[in-house]
Amino acid sequence: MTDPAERTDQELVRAIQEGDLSAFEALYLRYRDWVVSLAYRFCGHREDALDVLQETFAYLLKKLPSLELRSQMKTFLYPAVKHLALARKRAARRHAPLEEGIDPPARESPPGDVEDMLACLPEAELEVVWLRFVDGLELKEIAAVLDLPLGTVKSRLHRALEELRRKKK
Amino acid sequence: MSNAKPKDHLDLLALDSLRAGEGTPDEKAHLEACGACRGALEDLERLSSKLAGLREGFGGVPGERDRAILDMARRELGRAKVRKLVRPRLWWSAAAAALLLAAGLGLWVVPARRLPLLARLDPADIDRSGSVDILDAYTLAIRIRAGAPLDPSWDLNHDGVVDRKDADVVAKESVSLRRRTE
Repeated sequence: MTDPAERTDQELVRAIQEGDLSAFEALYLRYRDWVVSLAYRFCGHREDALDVLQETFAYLLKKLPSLELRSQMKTFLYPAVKHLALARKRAARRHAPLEEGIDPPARESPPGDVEDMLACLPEAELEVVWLRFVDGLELKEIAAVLDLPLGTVKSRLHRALEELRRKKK
Repeated sequence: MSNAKPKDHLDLLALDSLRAGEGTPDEKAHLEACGACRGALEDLERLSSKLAGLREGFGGVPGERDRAILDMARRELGRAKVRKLVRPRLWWSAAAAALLLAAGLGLWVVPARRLPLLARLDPADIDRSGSVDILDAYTLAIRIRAGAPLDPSWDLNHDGVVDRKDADVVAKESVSLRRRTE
């Protein structure tokens, strides 16, 4: 039998649908760190990010019986993580002005030049940069994840890269 | 490798495509020929690796959280297995129930809709056509008149003899049956 860690996401999903727990474990370990980092990026709170991690995989388990994975697992998970993390953030900031978006990058160390450069980007462009450079999605996957036309994604990325290059000079 | 500068340099999106290994053959060819674009790509790659470093910001997931999530999966997949096992049984039970119901309905419906089947058992079905009708009364009357052998079961009024009165019983029965089925 193939090592679960070597199987594609589609193969793992099919195995989980047959009740294979080791396939779920492989899928979980494949996306755990990405999901929790993403959640942290949106909600900015460590415990909340861990709760979002658990809620995301609970959501995945619920959807699995009828799930037909046609794209990357990341494009399936991203909207769920974002929604759950922003809900946590809303709950945490119930009495504070609502800012729906990506928190500045996690910082337990002093901010570096990259963080400073990113801080100058508008929210919409920052999200595209994150998805492209940190999450490694293709442009068409970013368009699917954000439910935007490909052209909009390209123009946002182009503007962001221009700005980052300008800041660097 | 040439350091000649082609007229139009690659734009940032093209450079980003090349960085991600998605560049077109034309873009790759341009990069080979253009030192400025190679320099721009190196800048972008440096930015990319710095951004990728931000991914590590969260740190690790505690073991107890992993266990909680895997326990949740174990429970959910266990329930799914039970549902898978139970569903076919339910299906078979439903199918069996439907069959019994159909059989029951059949027994109930047949006398009304398919009278001929049971009518064969009816002594009034003189000509064994499967239904009791005025032709049975006529056939019986003919047989009585002709002196043909008569089946004792045709004594429908139970007076001990098969005669015209029994033919009248069949006639009445055929009329009443017709009324019942109409």
